[in-house]
Amino acid sequence: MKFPALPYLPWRPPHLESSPIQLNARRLYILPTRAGMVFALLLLGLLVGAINYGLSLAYLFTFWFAGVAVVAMLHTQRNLFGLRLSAKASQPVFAGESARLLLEADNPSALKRFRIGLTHPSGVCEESDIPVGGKTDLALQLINAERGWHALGRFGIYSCYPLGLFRCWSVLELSDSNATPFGVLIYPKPAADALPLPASVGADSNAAASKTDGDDFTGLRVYQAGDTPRRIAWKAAARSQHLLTKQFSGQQGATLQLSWSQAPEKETEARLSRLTRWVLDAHAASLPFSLTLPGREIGKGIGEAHLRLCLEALARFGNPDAKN
Amino acid sequence: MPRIDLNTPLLAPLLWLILPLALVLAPHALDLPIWISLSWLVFAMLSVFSTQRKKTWSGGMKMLLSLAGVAGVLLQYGTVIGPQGGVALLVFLSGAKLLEIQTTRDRLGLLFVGCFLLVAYFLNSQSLLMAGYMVFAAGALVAAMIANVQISAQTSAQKNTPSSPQPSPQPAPELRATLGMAGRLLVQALPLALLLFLLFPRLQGPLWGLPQQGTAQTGLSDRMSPGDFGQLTLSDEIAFRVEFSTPPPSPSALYWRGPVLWDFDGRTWQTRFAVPTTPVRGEASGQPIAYAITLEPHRMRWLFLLGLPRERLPSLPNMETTLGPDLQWMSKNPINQRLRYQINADLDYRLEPDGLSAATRNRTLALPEGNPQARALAEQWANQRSDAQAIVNQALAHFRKEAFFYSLKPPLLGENSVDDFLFVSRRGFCEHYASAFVVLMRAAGIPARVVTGYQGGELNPLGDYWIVRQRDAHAWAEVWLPNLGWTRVDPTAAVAPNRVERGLNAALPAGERLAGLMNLNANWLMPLRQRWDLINNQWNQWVLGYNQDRQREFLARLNPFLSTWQGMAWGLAAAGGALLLIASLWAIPHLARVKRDPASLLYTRFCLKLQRHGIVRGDAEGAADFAQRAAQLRPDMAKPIHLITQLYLGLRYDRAEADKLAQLKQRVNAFKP
Repeated sequence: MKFPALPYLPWRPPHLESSPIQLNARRLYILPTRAGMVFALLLLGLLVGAINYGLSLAYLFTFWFAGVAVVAMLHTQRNLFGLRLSAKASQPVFAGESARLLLEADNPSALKRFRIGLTHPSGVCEESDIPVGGKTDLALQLINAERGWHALGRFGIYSCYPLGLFRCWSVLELSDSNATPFGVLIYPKPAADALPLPASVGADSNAAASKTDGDDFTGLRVYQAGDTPRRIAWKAAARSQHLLTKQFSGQQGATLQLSWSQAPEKETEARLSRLTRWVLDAHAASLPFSLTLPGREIGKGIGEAHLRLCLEALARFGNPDAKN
Repeated sequence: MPRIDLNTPLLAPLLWLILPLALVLAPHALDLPIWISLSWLVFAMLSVFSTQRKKTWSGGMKMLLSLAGVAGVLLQYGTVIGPQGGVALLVFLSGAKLLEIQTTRDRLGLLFVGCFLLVAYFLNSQSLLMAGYMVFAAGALVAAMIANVQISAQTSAQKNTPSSPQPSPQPAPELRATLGMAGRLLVQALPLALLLFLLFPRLQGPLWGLPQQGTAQTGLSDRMSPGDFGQLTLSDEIAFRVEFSTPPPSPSALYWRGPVLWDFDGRTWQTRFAVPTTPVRGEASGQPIAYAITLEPHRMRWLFLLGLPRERLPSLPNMETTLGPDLQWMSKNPINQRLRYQINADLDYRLEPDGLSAATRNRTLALPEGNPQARALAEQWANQRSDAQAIVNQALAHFRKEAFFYSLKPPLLGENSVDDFLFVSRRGFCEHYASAFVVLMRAAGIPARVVTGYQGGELNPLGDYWIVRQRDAHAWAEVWLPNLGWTRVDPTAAVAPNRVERGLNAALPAGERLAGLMNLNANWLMPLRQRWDLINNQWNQWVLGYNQDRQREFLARLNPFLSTWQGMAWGLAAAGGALLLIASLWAIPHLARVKRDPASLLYTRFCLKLQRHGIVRGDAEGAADFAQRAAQLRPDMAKPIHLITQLYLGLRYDRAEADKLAQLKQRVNAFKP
């Protein structure tokens, strides 16, 4: 549920803390919800009626409802009290995919916790129950998250259980165990259309001679215009979304150099999207590649770690608020 | 037609709304016009159908329905506010609201309306049984509020993230857990509620006008025609209860005085115009009594008395009362609430013994035309005897000797009702005898009038109080005798002595004895019945009758200071605060402690001792390494350091043995670097 940002005492602002933290009475705020205020007005009306008509039972039940509200207030606070929260590593995603920040809520008590939710200025959260002595992941779903590092920052954890007349909450800022603020990295959105990878450079001229009939199969790369159809790996292409061309040893030494200037688009984000697409394609084709961005150069490499490095560089491009 | 599956997630919120509301509204249905109850049921069913088929109702339709409801209530009650019209309209609209698609807030709002209607029902009845029922209804409402919070989480999450790939299915609120939570809330709130009930300063209402409730009540009326009392005897309803603080008089002396009827029109007795307001002229002549009457609301203006009140009558809060010269105690307004008053009185007294004013005399001698036989008989007596007392005795003897019968089913009387009764039918009930007797007395020149009220009562030995029921209604005569003043004469007693000695049933002929509960005097059910009435009486006295006076009285008994405003405020603050404190302490959930074994705790103490001397164990430093280093830094303590470390390591990583632990404890305690 989305609320206006939950308030906190201005002289006690939440500060960055390393997880896990335990919710105690000093961290918890509680106030009546709007429904709670309406309920109070209702009780006041009932009390006036009881006085006017001199109805003892009306007094009794009005007071009983009031007592229920007061006890419910304690239950609401109890519902959050003692929960242990820790930030959980969140997988990077591409822009446009659903980005989820995960918090692990640990319930070390013999009391089931009901309907606990998170609030965040740019995300929504489904309320969850936390079983006795168990752990539940509270997922904060970022809405329309753009490329770059999204620190979780200040977030609220709240509950209105059991009656919805009171809301208890806490405002927190969590870091993971390395004291880095907790957050999620969002890669640029890969360009939708598959332009061919730019031509490899650096293959020396005499390699061209041996190119024709090298026998050693070294791998696949994305089909480029001009590749002979005989070299197309049809079986592999059927599994991939691109046509793939078989590469043989004669082509070795050629390095795929992906660079800012090669992208046909002019606009920054579009260029990043294009480069992201190429990086992914090259990785899918198991081609070694290097990436050159203005102000950042990543040498030739291959494999999962290399891919991640490149994607992070793309994600953080020109984004100085990026952490790491 | 598709079958209704009550388990669909769509229906759960609706059922959590309909069922608790139905529980609250069911008792209202007895008092509401049938069309409102029926339309509520129809709305509820329609809402289930339309939710099942995912249909919605147009806004115009709903508007039309609401307007129809307002119009209907206006036609029925003439108003849409106030305790009757307002409640009826609220019930109708709460039904119509079910047809709408409900958000969390709508549902909570409807449940609030349910709370309101629950409390509003007590305008109709505050009986013990109803209170018990309403506890369950309140529980259902609270449970519905809990379920609503749980349901809200599902729907809102689905609404806010339409793009989310799979809204994870939320479990529907579990019935048992939800009801259990509601029960817990109610039980935990009870001490606070009782505290507020006892200590919240009661104001004497009303803040604005009380409702004029037109419901007919059985009870005495301000007129008496043949046959009226026969109706009353069928009613087992309680008129009032009496507690004597002095020894109670014998049952035959319990004449609870109510309306005094002065004027006769040949058939009906009534008081056609007000009696002149002169002070009561009476002389007490013994047998002081003190009693407290708790009068059930009877919608009439009179209050009942026994004997001649000793001092000025008690001033009842917010009531203007007057005591007429005929000992008729009247309130200015109808008595619509249960009322308790205490009287000190003398059972024996003489009323106006020193003579009557001419107006009073004339009025109490006036007779309409007709009844020639009765007149002739009375004149004959008057001619025979000059003494008024002798004439009275003659009349009573007449009733006793002639073949008069006490009967609940007297034959109908003609135009000359008194003649018919005295000389033809000779069967009658108390009003026949009282009426005929007063007519005879007036014809004989003795001022006389009819007094109505109640006679006798039933002692509840469990609570030591008397219950006076409608069937104890009675009418008797009052004649004015020189020097004695107004004297009570009960001609019914002459005919059926048992009526005043042992109650109505004993006086009736065997064929007419009343069936039902009231006939069970000698029955095995009697103790149960008495106990039930005792509980009801306590309920009336202490729960329903807990008003300003009762509160002061009760609190003063605890502590005089408590009975003041300040005392109540302080008491509430202190006791409420204490309750809240206890509750908050309880509310802290018990968190599982990180279990630490005793060996580690002892070793930590050992490390702390070293730390105080500047030897700090590094975060990643093993126990053995640390011992090595510490021993180098403090060669004098090397031996205990190594020993403690060995013991600790043995306990942690080898086998925990009790004697080793004791040894470690001893060493650590003795360790003084």
